[in-house]
Parts: sequence; C-alpha cells; structure tokens
Amino acid sequence: MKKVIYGSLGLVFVLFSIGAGTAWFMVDHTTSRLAKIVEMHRVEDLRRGLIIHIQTVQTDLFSIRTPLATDLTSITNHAAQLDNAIANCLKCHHSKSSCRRLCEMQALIGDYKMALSYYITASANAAMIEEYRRDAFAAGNRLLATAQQMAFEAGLRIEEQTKKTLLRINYAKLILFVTLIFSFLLALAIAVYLFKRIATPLNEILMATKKVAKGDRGVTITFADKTEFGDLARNFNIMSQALQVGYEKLYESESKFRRLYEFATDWEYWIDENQERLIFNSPSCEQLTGYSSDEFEQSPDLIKLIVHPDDRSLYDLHMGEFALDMTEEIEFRIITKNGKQKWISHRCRAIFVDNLFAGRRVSNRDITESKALEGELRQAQKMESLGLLAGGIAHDFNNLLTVISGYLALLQLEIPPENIKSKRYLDQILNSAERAKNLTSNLLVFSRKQIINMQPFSLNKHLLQIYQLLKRIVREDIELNLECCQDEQFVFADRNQIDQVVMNLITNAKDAMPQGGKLNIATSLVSFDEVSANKYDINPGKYMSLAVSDTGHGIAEEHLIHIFEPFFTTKERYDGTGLGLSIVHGIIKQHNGFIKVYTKEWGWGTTFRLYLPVYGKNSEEKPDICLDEKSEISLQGVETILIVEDDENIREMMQEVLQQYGYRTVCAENGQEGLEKYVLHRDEVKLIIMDVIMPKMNGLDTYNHIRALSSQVKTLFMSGYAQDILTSKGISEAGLEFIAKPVPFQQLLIKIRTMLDQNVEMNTN
Amino acid sequence: MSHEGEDMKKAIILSLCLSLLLSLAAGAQELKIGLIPEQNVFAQQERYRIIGDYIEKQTGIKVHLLILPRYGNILENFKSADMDGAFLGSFTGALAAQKMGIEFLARPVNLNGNSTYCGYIFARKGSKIKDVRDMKQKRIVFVDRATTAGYVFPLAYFKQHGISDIDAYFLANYFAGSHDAAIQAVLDGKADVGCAKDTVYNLMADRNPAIKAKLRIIAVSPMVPSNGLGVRKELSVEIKQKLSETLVGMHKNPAGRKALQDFRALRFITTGNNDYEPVLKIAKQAGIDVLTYRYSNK
Repeated sequence: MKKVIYGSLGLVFVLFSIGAGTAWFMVDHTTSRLAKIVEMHRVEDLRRGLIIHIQTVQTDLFSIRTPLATDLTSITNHAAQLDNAIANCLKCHHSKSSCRRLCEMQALIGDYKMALSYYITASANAAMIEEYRRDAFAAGNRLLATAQQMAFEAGLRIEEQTKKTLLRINYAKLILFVTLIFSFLLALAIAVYLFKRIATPLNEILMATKKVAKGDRGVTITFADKTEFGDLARNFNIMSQALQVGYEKLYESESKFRRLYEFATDWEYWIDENQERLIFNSPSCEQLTGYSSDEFEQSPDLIKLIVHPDDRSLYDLHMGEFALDMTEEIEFRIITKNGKQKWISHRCRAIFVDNLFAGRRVSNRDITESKALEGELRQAQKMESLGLLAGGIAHDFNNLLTVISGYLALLQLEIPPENIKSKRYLDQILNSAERAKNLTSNLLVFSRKQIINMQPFSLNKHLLQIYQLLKRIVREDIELNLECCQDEQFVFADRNQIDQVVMNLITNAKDAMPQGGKLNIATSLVSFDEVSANKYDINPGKYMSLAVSDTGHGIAEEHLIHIFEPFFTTKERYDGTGLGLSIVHGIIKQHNGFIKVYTKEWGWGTTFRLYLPVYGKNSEEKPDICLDEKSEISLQGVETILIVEDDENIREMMQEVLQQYGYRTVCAENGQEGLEKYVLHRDEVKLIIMDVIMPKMNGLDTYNHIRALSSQVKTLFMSGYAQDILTSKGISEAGLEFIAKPVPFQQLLIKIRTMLDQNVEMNTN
Repeated sequence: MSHEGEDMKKAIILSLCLSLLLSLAAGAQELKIGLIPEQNVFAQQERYRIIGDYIEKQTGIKVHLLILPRYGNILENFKSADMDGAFLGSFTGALAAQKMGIEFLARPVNLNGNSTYCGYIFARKGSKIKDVRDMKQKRIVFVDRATTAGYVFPLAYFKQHGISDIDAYFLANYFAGSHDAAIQAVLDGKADVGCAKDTVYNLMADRNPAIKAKLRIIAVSPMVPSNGLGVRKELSVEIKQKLSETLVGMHKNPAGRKALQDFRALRFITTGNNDYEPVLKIAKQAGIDVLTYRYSNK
C-alpha cells in the first residue's frame, strides 16, 4: 500500500510538476518576452530619443551661421547622443540582423556626424557651405528615415511579440488550468482509489475487531492482497485463530471448571486479603444460603452476618486466624435467607500468590442433613437400646407371667366353685396377669420382638374396610378423609399390627385437635433409589406410603426427638401410656419400613408418613390357620413329652400342667441335657417342647442333634422373643412349630394335641 | 566680555573665512580646454576626451573640453570663453604664443615616433593634376586660414611657385574647416586640390584605402610641432606644473599608457614656444606677418 500511495503521490507530483513546470516555463518565457517587450519599448524610447536628437540637429542645421544659431556644443551633444542611443541599442540587440541594422545605423550616424562636422567647419564659400548643409541634411534625413523605419519595424515586432506573448500567456493559463484540473481530477481519482483501497480493508478490519471486541470468536477477514492491509488482515486472522484456539482451550478449561463448580453443592469462594472483595464465588452459595452470588459480591460482610448468633463467637475466633498459612475446618450454623437454620462444614486455607498473602479459599458444605441423620442415628440407637431393654424385660417378665399364669390356671382348677371369694381373688390376679401380658406384649412390639403374621394385602382395600370403624373413633368435629392412590401395590404386613398403627396415629391426631379439624389418611406409591434408600437405611425399591395428617397444634421441636421413646407423653397423666408412637415405630421398623414426621410451627398440624415395602405382586395368600380354631379338640394325652427349658419355674409349671392333663414328662434344664435325656428316652418321647434361647446349647442346635438321631421326633419351640429372633436362629426357616411366651395354658395344650395328632409324614417333610 | 573672548571670536571668524577661501579655491579647480577642429569635430572631441579624463583622474582638476568650429576662433575664445588652455595647432599655437603669450606645456609623440607633422597638397589621381601648374583654374579646398598644413604651407608653396593671387589662379577655393573635410572634399570631387596635415591624411588612409588609391600627394611641407597643450600665462604655476607632469608622465603608468593607446600616441613630451620656429618660417615664406595676420576665414 505504501508503494501505491507513494506511486500515486508520485504520479500526482509528476503530473502537477509537468503541468506546473510547463506553465512555469511558459510564464517564465512569457515574462522574458514581456521583459523583452519592455526592453523593446525602452529601445523604442531610445529610437524615439534618437529621432528627436536627429530632428533637433536637423532643425539646428538651419540656424547655424545665423544669429539664432544654436551653440555648437549643443549640436555636438545631440549628435553624441545619437552614438549613445545606438550603443545602448547594441547592448541589447545581439541578433546578427539587429546588429547589422544597428551598425548600418551607426554608419549612418557617422556619416551624418561627418557631414555635420563638414558643414559646421566649412567656410569662405557659400555654395560649398550650402552643399555641405544639403549633404548634412540629406544624411540626417537618411538617418531619420532609417531610424523611423527601424522604429516602425520595431513597433511591428513589439506588436507581434505582444500578441505572441499574450497568446503564450493564454496558453500558460490554459495549461495551468488544465494542469490544475487534471491534477485535481487525478488526485481525486487517486483519493477515491486509495479511499477504496484503504477504506475497504480498514472497514473490514474494523468490523472484525468490533466483532472480536463483542466477544465473537473465529472472526476472519476475507480481504487479501499484497499490501500492508493484506499483511494486517493475515496477521489479524492468525491472531483471531490464536485467540479462538486460546479461547477454546480457556472455554474448555472453564467449562470443565464450570461443570465442576455448577454441579458442586458445596459453596466455594475466595475472599481477598482484606476481606472486602470476593474474588470467586460459586453459584452454589444460593442453594446453600438462599443469597445469590451477586448479593455476596455486593456485600461480602454477608458471609459473617449469616452465621448463627450462637456460633458467631466460634466464627470470629476462626477468622482471627485469617492470614495464617494453615488449613482449618469448623462446623457452625447459618441462617438462610428464608430464615432456615443450616449446618455447614467450613473448610478454608490461606492463598499465597507469588509468596504474598492473597486471601483465603473456603469450601462450605451443607451438613444439615447429615447432622439430622446423625441425630436420627443417635435416636435410632437409643430406640434400639430401649427396645433391647424393653425386650429383655418383657422376655423375663413373660417367663414370670408364664409361670404365674400356669400356676394360676392350675390353681383355678383346684378351687372349688363354692369358694367364690377365693375365685374372685384369683380372677383379679388373672386379670392383672393378663394386663401384665398386654404390657409385655406392647413392649415386645416396640422392641420388635412381637411375633407378627405377615401377609400380602391391599392397603387401600384394608383402609376402606376399616374406614367406618375409624370414623366412629374420631369425634364429630373432626372431618376424616381417606385418599387412596390409583397405582397401589400390595404390602407384606401384619394386618392387625397395621390396624394398631393406624389406630394409634388417629388417636394422637384426634388428641392434637381438641377444637376439631381435618384428619386425612392418604396412600401413595413411591420409589427410593440407592441414594435415597441409603439415606433412610432401607432397601431400594417401591414403597407404599401411608400418610396420616392433622390440622392440630403440631409437635414442638424440643419434643420431636422424643416422640418415639416409650412412655414419653405430653398428655395428661391418665390420658396416655406413652407407648402409642413407640408401638407405631416398633411395628413399622419390624415391617422393614420407616417413618417421616412433618410438623410445622405450632398450629399448623402434623403428618406422619409411613413407608412399607411392597410385596411385588398384587395377590393375597391364605392366612395361617388360627390356633384358636382348634379349641374344640381334646386336651388330654398320654404321650411322653420332653421339656427343655432353662427357666426352672416354667419347666416345673409346664411339667405340672402336662402331667395334670395325662402326659408323661421328661425335663432338661438346657439343650445339652435335653439331648442326653432324648437319647435316654428316644423311644418314649413323642414331642419335645423346647425353649429357643438356652445356655450351653440353644434350642435349634439341640433340635438338629436330635433330628440327627431321629427324624420323626416332633418339636414345639417356645420363646419369649419375636419370630425374627427365631428366624435368625434358623427355626422359622425350618418350618418348625412355635409358640410364644407367655403361653396361654389352654393354647399350649391345643397346640401339643394338634401336633401329636398330625401325621408323622408331615413332620418329616 | 573679556579680551580672551574677543580674541577667540576673531579666531573663529578668521577660521571660517579661511575655510571659505579654501573651498572657493578648491571650487576653482576646473580647466576649460579648447579644441581646434583638426578633424571631424565629433571625433576630435572624443579623442581628446580621453586626455581630459586622464588629467581629471590624475590631478583632480576637472577638465571641460570646448570644441571650436574654427581654428582662428581659438584666440578669441581664450578671452570670450575664459579658456585656460587649448590643444593648439602649430600655426594657431604660434599665433597664440606671439599674440597672447600662451605657454606650451607638452605635445604628443605620434605612433610613428615623431612629435611633428607636415602638410600635404594633394589631388585626385584621375584629375591629372601632378604639379602646381596643373592646378590652374581648378577648385582648391583649404582647411582654415589658421592652419599650417591647411593654408599657410600651401600659400607658401604656391608663392614659391609664383602664384600670389589664389583667387585668380584657382577656379574656386574654400575652407573646409577640418583636415578630414578637406581630404574628403577632394575624394568626393567637391574640390580638385586639397591640403591637409599628414597625420589626419594617414589616419583616414588607414581607415579608407581608397584615399591612397585615389589621391596623389603633390607637395609636402617641412615638419612642424604636433598639436600641443598651451595654457594662458596667468594660470598658476602649480597647475601648469601639474598638467605638464601629468601629461609627460602618462606613459609611465598603465592608465596613462592605456589612454595614450586610445589617443593614438606614444607619449607626451615637453614643448616650448621655440619649437614653433619652423611654423613662423613657413608663415614668413607665405608672406604672413603673424602679429597682424587676419586669420579669420572670409
């Protein structure tokens, strides 16, 4: 482009120089001509002076030798002026013709002067003097004629020269005008050309740079030539490509980073060394705190302000070590934008850039849920401990009750009907024993030691069946609603225990709404994936949800963690036992389900949402045969029964009862002894009644050893623990007969008689 | 006023008067030099302008040259025109010396080394005039009654050849006024016989070869002193000495030599009134009494 510009400028310069030079030459030439014309006029003046001098001398010729004669000096002076005039002319005229004419003129002047001199000096002869005068006059006339002729010719030349000069002036003007016009047009054309050559690439480059400035990437300039603009465009394209590559790398890196931090739930930020500016703040801050990233950037103090007042001192203590090069981790609570309280794990470390402290990098993790789970775990462990305690108590208590009930039953048989008073006392004792049995039963339910009758059934159908019963339980000022889901699946549960759960929850809901309200029972089918299942410590899969909601006063936060504890109650002393929710908790846990409680502020009600695993297929199975249905059969027998029971009281009571009903008994106080006794009486023993949990050798091991000796022996296991314990001992899986403590005396005899009467083959299967 | 003050005043007035006189004296440093029409008056004036300019440059004395239409007028002009001096011809010089006491200072040495000249009597070769006898009833042209070569010598020559009455012997005669005019008149046929000094004749012959080709010299006069500078005797000795020394010393410096070359002379030499004795002798032969001679042309 420089060559083009220089070339263009050179072309304009050359054209202008040629035109201006020509015009200058013509003006200069014309000026010279004008100078010549002026000189010619000056010479013309000389000629005129010459003519005047000649004419003067000629005039003086007639006055010589008269009284009016002019002084000779005057004549000679005039005559001398003629030579001066010619000399001046010769100074200017250099052409041969001019010089020749002037020389001729000079000769004529010489002749004239000589004739003059002759006339002036001649004397003494008038005729000769007159002749000399005539000669002089004639010479003067010749000179005058010649001078006038030359003046005329000179006039013509002046006129001609003037015309030529004027013509040349006009030519010069025309050339100058044409030069100026052509120079202007050429300059204009060059300017337009250069403008296009410069403006086009410049515009394209400008547009491209604007696009780049706007953030466009990969912008390329199509303009290409061999000028500097072409180089600029090529370099721009290289730069743009480099920018694009760099941007793509940066974008890729930034995308990776963005993918990382956008999906990160942890709140990451980098605060500067003065704690005045957030150099980086991840968007997850909004998810964690409710405050947007902009709000934190506008007010970095917000980081401190959201700290829970109770944890502020801990936070301030931590911030006191802001500039220390160490990694710290603390846990504190924050108040979110919507007023919620969250636990965060705050981990931070100092950042040094070029060995200069540049603030701290912080990672905040929401640990609210884990904190809650931790609490729940603690609660669960506590509940488990309570369950174990309650179960253990109930087990031992059941043993006692078994003995008490057994002997009371025997005693009842011994008391004559007329002894009404004793019979009444005995009934009171039996009632109390029955109540104690219920109590231990409830404790066993809570501790999940209750023996349950699991069956697949439709929860919706069952709820509809008991709906009317439930309506009678609630008061008239309470509106009971039942919403059953459409996509129901069967649950595998104990109907009776589910009934108890629903009854307990409705009872609590009713008590929570003394002024009346709404009570909703709703079912739904929900799925829990691996993550969610782990969270609630359940197996992943589908669950039927049973929600019982009220519009009552809700549960105070401080009570929430205690509601499932046995004997915890907020009711008046005689309104509740404190076992209702404990039983609910125990039953649901025993069914491999879980409970979520949603309670809001006081007056906004509570929802208990129970989750029960679905059975997998929607078909009901025949329920187990109820033992009560065998009550009509004979209780008497003569067979020998081996009683293996570590509890001596129970062992003796059972021996007493069985012998009372005609049976022969062999007793052993543990499994080892039971095995030995069986070996001794293997031909007589038709049935073994065996406790499950015993010292030295438990019931199942003893059974297995006995089975090894005789596969036809019938065994009835007896335990104060729930069926899951038996399952863990392998008894349930083996299809063995089982009866729970405290064993009702009548039921035990029916069971024994039923087993003895069953086909031996059944027992061997 | 004290006597000292009066004395001072007198001294100042005296100084002023003296300065005035000196300035007047300095203003008088101008010489009016006459020129006789030896040749064409214009040429004569141009030729002597060279000498005048040289004197001015060398002495600081302004020289005003005055060309005269007649030889004889020179004597009257010494009085009427207040001339201080003149380059006089030999006869006019003799006249001036005799009548006015003019003192001669210097005269030039011609290019041929002579400081004298002679007079020629000549005629056209085609006129068949070969001697004085052939001149009878011919037209004769003289230069001036106050010239040696142009009148006195021919008069003496004619007398020597028995011709006393010029008017009677010649058909016509007149005075051309200058030597070149006389030569040109014969050459042009205005006269049959002419007389002029050799220096002018030779000068014209050098310029115009036709002169030697067409004219024949019939008689030659004795040598007489060339035209010298004579000044009035009242002129200060200092100026006379300056003029004399300037002219005589011209050839000793480049400017002078250049001026001499243009003047067509080798140098100037001193001259005195005695040098004009040959002229007086010729005049005597011509029957002219210098003191009473009426030198004006008719």
